[in-house]
Amino acid sequence: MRFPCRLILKELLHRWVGFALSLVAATTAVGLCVGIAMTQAAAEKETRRNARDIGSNIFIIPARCDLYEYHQQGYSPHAMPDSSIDRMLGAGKIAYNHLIPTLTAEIQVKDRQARLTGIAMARHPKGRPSKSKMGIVVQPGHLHLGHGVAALLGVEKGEEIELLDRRWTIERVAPEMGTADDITILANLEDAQQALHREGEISEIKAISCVQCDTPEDTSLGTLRAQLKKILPETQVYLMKEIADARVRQRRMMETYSPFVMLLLILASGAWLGVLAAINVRERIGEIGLLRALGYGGGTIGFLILGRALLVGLLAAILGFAIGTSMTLTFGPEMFPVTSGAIRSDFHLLAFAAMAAPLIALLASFIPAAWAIGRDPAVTLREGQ
Amino acid sequence: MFIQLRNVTRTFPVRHDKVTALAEINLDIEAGKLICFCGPSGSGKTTLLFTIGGMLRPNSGKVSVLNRDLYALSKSERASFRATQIGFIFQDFHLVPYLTVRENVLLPLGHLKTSERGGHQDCDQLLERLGLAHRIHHKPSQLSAGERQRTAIARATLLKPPVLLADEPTGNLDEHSAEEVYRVLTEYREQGGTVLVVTHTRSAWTYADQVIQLVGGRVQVDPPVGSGHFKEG
Repeated sequence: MRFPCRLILKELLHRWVGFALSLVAATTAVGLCVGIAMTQAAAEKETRRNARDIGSNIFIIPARCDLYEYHQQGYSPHAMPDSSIDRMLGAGKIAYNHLIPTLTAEIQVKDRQARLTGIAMARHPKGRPSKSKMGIVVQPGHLHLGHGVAALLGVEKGEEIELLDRRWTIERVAPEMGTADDITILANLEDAQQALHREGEISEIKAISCVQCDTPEDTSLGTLRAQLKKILPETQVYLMKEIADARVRQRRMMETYSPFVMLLLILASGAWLGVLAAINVRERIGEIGLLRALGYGGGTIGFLILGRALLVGLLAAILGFAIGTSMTLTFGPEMFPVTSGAIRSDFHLLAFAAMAAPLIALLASFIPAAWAIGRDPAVTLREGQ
Repeated sequence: MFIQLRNVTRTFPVRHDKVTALAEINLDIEAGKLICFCGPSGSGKTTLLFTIGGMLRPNSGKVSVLNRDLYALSKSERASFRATQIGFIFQDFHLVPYLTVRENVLLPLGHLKTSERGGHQDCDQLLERLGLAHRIHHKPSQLSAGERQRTAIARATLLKPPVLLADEPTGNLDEHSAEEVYRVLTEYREQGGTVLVVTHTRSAWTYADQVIQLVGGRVQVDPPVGSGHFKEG
């Protein structure tokens, strides 16, 4: 091993308390940054999932459906052709995403009126693929029953029932929601169209407004309506403002909060490392003066100080990644229960930490190193006495 | 002349004022001599030694060692010159605490290329001559003051530099250890080395070829009582 490297290692072992403090500072910063990055990725997934749970923020219904009629019934009693969705997707650049066509009608279940909704998988404009599955998917021949309907029929998940002259398997029984969902039966769109004898019809398209994702101003509804008028003049669009605003708040919180915390962490640990490096140089001032007296050049002295910082940074990157990852894998699921399965170790973070941590440690030690190198050896020696 | 100083002045800033440590010093020192610099505290002895050693740039004047104008050299050239031509011994030893005696002695070789190490003494033999053979694997904290200073002397003389500078080398030692140090320094002089010693100790003058007294940063014209001769350039 080269002599200066040996000096660095021996010095680290000798002044192990200072070394340990530097390592703790850098490791904590790396670990927290890794943890934040991992949870941020998970939180983004959770945000998307929450947004999905919040639901679509716009609905498109036939133009002849009166708004009073829609809200009084809870769905559009009028229909439009299911090719409408193809026309929208074929129109090129549109400010809509996650288009979900549905067909809803009231049906008789035992002696009560329930609601049957046929629902298809969400569809996306070209070039704008979905980052995650969105919307509810009901397999053909299966049903998702609202809590009230399941209670009325006295059935559970996995059982078979006969409804509208067809046999269905119960795929899911929803928990009690306290909304109209409790009396809703969800089926695959094509199954519902056949069961209701309304092939080729849909009553509503639920979607997410992309305009709304970025600009919460009311004027975005004007953009949506102008676009739709050109593509589907026989329809009308409404924005569910409360849901739209909730989506925007979710996204913005994640986008602004995490980078700020990370920057704060990096600055704090950088300052801490800088102070510890300065203390180390002050402690070694006599030794540095001696080495200068013995003819060691500024480059070698710099290597001794910065090499130590480099080592601290590299060790901190590895330890910080390991600790940050294991802590996040252990405690992350408690913080993000919905997407706990999505919290995974990311080795890109190790590569990033292995570059960033040594660089920050080097920058923090640079001023003390330059200070030690730039002075007359005699002045340094005298200070070390 | 082996070492030559011409009109060397060095001041240090002190708040809004400045202190003159060396004032227009002129000196000529021949090779193969043991010179003692004496004088009261603050008279500029150590500053003079560091200036001759290429470790403290004077505000004005010229310092030549082995016919090299030291402060006309670049920092790295001066560092190289110091590494091979000048050895330093300090009052408080300046041993690296985490290195063993042997590693401390070998420290001057650490940054030199193999070609620059030519003619250096065998470390273990040197330590044996200085009575430190049984201490080579010990750390400085495990040594007595005399042993520490002998380790520092071994380090300073490993490369057999033509000039050896010692700043109060016996300041922290008992009488016996001090005599031992001067015996080693005298031997070094006898082998052809030039030794400059800053000292308060009158007994050291008996080993000196020349005693130079500094007062207020200037060389005194009259030699100190009990010394041999002095020479002002």
